[in-house]
Amino acid sequence: MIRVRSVRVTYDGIKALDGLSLDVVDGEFVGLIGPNGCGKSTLIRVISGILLPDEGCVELEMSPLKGMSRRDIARTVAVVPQESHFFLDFRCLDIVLMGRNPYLRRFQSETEEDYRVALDAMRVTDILHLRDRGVNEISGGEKQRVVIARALAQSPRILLLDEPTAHLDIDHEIEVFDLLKRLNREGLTILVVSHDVNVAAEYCERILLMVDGKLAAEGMPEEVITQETLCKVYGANIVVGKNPKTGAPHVLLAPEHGRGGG
Amino acid sequence: MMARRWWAELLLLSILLVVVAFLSMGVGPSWISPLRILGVRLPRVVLGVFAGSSLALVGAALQGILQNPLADPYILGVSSGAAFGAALAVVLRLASSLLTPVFGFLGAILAIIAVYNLAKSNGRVPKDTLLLSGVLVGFFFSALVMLLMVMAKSELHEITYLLMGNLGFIFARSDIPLFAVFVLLVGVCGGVIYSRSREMNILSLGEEGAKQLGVETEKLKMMVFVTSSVVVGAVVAFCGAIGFVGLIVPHITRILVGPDHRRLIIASILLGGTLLLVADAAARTIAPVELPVGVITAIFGVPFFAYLLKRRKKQFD
Repeated sequence: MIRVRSVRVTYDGIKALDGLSLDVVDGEFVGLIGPNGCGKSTLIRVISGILLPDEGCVELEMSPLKGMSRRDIARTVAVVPQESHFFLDFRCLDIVLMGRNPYLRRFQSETEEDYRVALDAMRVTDILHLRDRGVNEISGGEKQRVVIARALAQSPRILLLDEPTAHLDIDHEIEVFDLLKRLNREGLTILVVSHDVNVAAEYCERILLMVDGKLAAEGMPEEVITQETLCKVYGANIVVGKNPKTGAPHVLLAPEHGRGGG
Repeated sequence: MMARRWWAELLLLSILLVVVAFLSMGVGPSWISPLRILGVRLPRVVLGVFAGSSLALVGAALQGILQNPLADPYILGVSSGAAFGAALAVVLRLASSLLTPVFGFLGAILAIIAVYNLAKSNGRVPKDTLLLSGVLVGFFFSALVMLLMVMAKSELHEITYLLMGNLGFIFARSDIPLFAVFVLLVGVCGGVIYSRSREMNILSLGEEGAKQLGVETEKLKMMVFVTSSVVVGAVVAFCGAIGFVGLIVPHITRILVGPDHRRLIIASILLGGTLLLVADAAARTIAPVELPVGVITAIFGVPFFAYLLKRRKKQFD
């Protein structure tokens, strides 16, 4: 589980996180939404130990992040960024094996067990056929699945994703979120940042809405994604309806100068 | 299958090094008796393997931690520091040959300390700042060397030769222990660098990504930077600034064995020694006078550098 208490982070005089507190319980699938610049990515960086908060504390699985080594953190939390660049052209299998680093000693090479875990992760993410391909010669959607496989190879308790599908087509986006749902059912705790409110509403059990570095609302998708709340945050040009197939709340555009308006 | 191919490549590169080492002992401006080969050309071959391997090792490591394919052992300003130290020893006529390398090495250490402290801010050393301060400190020491050259009279030739890099260091019996100490030092530093090769692989994902996989990136960069600098200092102290071996060899090796530093570093060590021996054999035979090997490596290195630059552009456009 993740516990964040009164965390404050200031960058260049701007408060990125302003006394933020939240909890993510074991086994949850939580979506973090909010307008650009509200501090979503900063929160991911704080939880993964990249950024030290100026104030407040973060706990992972009941132990304070402050006392954990990078290896300890990497065994507990894995992060999938929005986009990955690969400076060197490793094979996809090599990239996934890098997820085993927190379990390996300095001179130790990967054991059979490490290969088994990595190949399992590749099977789950359906990229086994890419194992010997260079990571820079595959498509964006495939790359993102390689990165997710690497995260799974860390055998983490918690998976953090920072807009993992921002650069993907809709079909790949659905594939990725279906995969996350499956992993969540098998016990992985997931916190995913999404700028796409609809996708979050469709897949997450609980939604956190962040505004200006603070939590503005939280609850089930239908409690948070309401006309009233979203209009306050994003302005008046949206309508909240329902997905006719799943019943989840769905945000629709209602522009002033669209087809219906002036 | 991949593992078997790697062992084959390793064997091939090792055989190549041994064969080239033997052949290059037979090559020279004039025929000499086998007995004199031991005295004259064997030290040269030993020095060639020492310098070529060390520079290639450091090149591979620095390209890894700076995530810059154009980084080479001299970009961090350490060689200029070493050249300054050695030139100072020459000008001060301390030139019992023993003191030149010692001064060279001290110059290198001075440069490392300067570069590292210049680049550090808030306990972090961003890789671009490290490059920039390396270039800066390098310029400064180069200027000091030029100053020494202006002041020097009869020693000018010796300094010029030092700057160009050559394997003609003449070993007196008393130099051998010092050389042995330097080789040991380079061996230890090389071991430290090699022990970080898996982490260097991971660093290619970017610093944030590497941290999230459990790598202490600041510590990694510091360790590799300092040990690399010590290695470069030791090489320049004996052989002067031999350019381009450290830049080119890792690139050729990457094409041969792939990007994994655990293989790249070992293969670079073998190929670096081989290539420098070939270049030195050419330096001894191409022209009527013996050329400094640094001239040969630069003449062949620059076109290769240009080729890499072109290819890289194509890749990113």
